[in-house]
Amino acid sequence: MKPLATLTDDEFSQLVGRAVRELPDAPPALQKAAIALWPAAGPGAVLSALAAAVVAQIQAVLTFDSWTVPAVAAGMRSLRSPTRHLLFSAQGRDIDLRIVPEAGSFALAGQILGPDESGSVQLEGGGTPRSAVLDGLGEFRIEGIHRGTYVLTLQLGGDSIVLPSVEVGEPLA
Amino acid sequence: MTVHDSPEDDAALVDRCRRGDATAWAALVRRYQRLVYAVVMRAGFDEHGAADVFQTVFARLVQHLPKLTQPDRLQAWIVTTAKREALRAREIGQRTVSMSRDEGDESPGLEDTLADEAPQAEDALSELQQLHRLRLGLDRLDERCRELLLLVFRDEDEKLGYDEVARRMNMPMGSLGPTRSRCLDKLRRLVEAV
Repeated sequence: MKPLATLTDDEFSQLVGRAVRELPDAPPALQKAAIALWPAAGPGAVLSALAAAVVAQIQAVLTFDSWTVPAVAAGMRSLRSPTRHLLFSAQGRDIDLRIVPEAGSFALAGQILGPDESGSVQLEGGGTPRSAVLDGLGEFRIEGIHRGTYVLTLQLGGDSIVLPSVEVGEPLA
Repeated sequence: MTVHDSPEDDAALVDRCRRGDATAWAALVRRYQRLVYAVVMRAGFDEHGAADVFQTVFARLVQHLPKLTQPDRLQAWIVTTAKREALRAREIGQRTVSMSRDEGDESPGLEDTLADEAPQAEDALSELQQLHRLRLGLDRLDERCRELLLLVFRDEDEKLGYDEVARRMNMPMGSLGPTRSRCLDKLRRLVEAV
């Protein structure tokens, strides 16, 4: 992408055309609804009241997946650990997740590293949602999970942290 | 309508929001609605899905305003949040419907450009922010120039002939080209000065 200052007149004109065509106004109803999100607080509203007006929901980001680490030498793939190790981060918390194969199913074991002293996790996908409470070390374990796609949500200190969906087991062909 | 596009002005609006000024919030929404909508629409959502993600992004902004440590980086925060919310909505299967795109739609889809942290995805977001800068510059132009450029650069399926543009602008056809050039020069000076 060239800086605006280096564009020729023709290039600048084309870019303006794209700006008009690719950035249309959002429908007025959407704009109005977004403006209405403002909490009905008068002037001088304190920050904390503003923060509390909307439930915090945070999207965690995947930072490591042991199954996507490239093999360093031929034949390494066959040695891949059956336990998959995933790391996520979300606003000051690190989430360490392990998917461990068991007899005919899997266990999801994890630990939350962060400022929260308590919390819970909920696993959705593959039928009835499952949940677990963090222990004193911020650890949890959910067993008897079948192959499939799941979404894990953490409730920590007033925040709801949603992890990207996780494939448990080898993806079905 | 007057729109200010300097980072300092974003910071000032955020500051006013923090003091409970609802008009500052409305100004922020109006300033960034096009950018958020563009990111969301590139994800290929239908009308309802796009509306959900659009609202979620601004709800996140209300929630985040008190914690925003770099108000001058607000635009980057909004783009990143819009991208993540769009991807999240797709991932968890909420409101994800047909990802088909209109024929003739030349803009790249989110699945092509924004779906990961790859350099090309970041380039696409940077380019979108550059287009947004121009779009805000258009808002700051005098009304006659803005109207002329918006007419000249309309979508292909709504494109007007020069004769029709001249008629609507109430100006001789021979003046259109030079006026268009002068307006583009004005716009360039405006956005480069920010």
